[in-house]
Amino acid sequence: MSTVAKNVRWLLAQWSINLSSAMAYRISFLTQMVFMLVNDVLLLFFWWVLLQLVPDIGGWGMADVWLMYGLAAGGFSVVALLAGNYNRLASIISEGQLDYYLALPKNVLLHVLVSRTDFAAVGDLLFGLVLGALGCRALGANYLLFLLFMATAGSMMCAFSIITNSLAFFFGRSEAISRQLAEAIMSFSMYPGTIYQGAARFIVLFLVPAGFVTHIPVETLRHFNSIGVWQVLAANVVTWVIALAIFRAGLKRYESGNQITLRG
Amino acid sequence: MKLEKKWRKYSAVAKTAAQSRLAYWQEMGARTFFFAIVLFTFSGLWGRVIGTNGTLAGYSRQQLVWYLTLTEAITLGATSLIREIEQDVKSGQIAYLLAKPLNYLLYQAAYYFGEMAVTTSLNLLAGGLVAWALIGLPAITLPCLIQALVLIVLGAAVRFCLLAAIALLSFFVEESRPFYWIYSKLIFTLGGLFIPIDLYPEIFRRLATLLPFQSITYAPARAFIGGDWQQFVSSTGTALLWCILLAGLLSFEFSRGVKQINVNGG
Repeated sequence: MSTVAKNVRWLLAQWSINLSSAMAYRISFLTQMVFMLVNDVLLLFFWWVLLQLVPDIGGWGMADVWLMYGLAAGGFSVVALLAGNYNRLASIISEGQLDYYLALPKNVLLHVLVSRTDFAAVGDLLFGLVLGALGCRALGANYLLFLLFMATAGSMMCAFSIITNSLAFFFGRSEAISRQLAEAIMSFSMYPGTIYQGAARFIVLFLVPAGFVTHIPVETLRHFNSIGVWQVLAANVVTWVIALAIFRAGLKRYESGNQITLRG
Repeated sequence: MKLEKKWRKYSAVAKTAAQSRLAYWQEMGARTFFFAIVLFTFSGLWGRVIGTNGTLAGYSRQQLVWYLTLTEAITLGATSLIREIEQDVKSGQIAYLLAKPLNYLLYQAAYYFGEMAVTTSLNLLAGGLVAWALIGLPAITLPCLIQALVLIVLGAAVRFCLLAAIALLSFFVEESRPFYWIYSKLIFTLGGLFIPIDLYPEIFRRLATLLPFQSITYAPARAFIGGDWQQFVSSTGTALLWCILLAGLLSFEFSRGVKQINVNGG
């Protein structure tokens, strides 16, 4: 069996174990999923009120907001379901819990990321898919392109989170600030790209690259151009290269916590 | 004398809570960072929507950013109240706490106000500096400042009653967190977290005035950016009414809850 096929089988087995763990607490899982969905729907309330008062926000109307939220929530759900530890790396590093993964014959980063699944994100996934469909229909956009951008949004969030969480290799206990930095990309992604001008535009494109999560994808969905697609894909590649380089550099500095960890 | 002794006891609890909050500097730093992002984003949003000198239903960009500074400072002034009460109830620790010479609810209230005083003050300071840098100082008058401070304290009391009532649901249901999520969304919508309730469509504006959430965020922030005495009296009356109603409800819930405690010796 090829290495790729072996890894795919291993990943499927890992996600299946994660699902079994979640199903042990069915009520909790369902409650969280439903409330996550309600939470997402209520987030639209603000934009609905605002767009009752003004016709648009720098050219963005309600359909653009649907696409933006669809990409943000859908992208988040992709990474939370497939790589649920993406925003807990800093805790795992600073508490010395990487020891467990280092002793196993799998890629350390991939193994850590997929060891957890946040099933409450199923609510976000449903929300993202429905809003994407509504937005695409209203603007005449391509739903397949929306799905591609949903995947790149999740990938971007994951890579950026690896960068911020890897700070723990260099600065020790930095969970709070790592988490806030990683969440900044989500926060910036949930507002129309047109409100960020000048220096703010530079920040959301190159420092906290939310522009490639929702802003450029929404513009590209509205007025299709292949440049937008390539920009998003290139930004993903660059962010992942940086993330992997920082994680590898950090891993060389990692010191065992000599901690005995029990994993269920 | 007895009242003075009680006051000393509970103010010592509040002081301890305030001191312990100051120890979590990393958490405070992270919260300030988040706060700065929100203000930065909304400054851009309002700039785009209404421009530098325009207004939105009578509110200037500066007023809307400072309104958000107040509501976010209050909302982010989170305390450990829910977690503490939930743990006490679920672990059975509450049975031991009831035997102490302290009223459990008053103890929690004192602890909550101690924590709130520190977190909200620091949030106001940090948020105020960010807002000042982004948009400049608003035309603050002394009456506005006094009105806002009074309404922040009253709103904190309403918030305590609501949060403690939610946490005490642990006596009756396995998981009280979903109720907290509903509460936080109601603060977001009917509490006017991002924009003043005056800007809502009629039906939501009416609904908001019938519920306690606007006393927590909207009322103090509205007073800060330019309230008048008539509105202040009305907001104060509403907050006081909710305090009394919710305190009664909380007390009833607590008395029913403690009847469910079973203590096993050993």
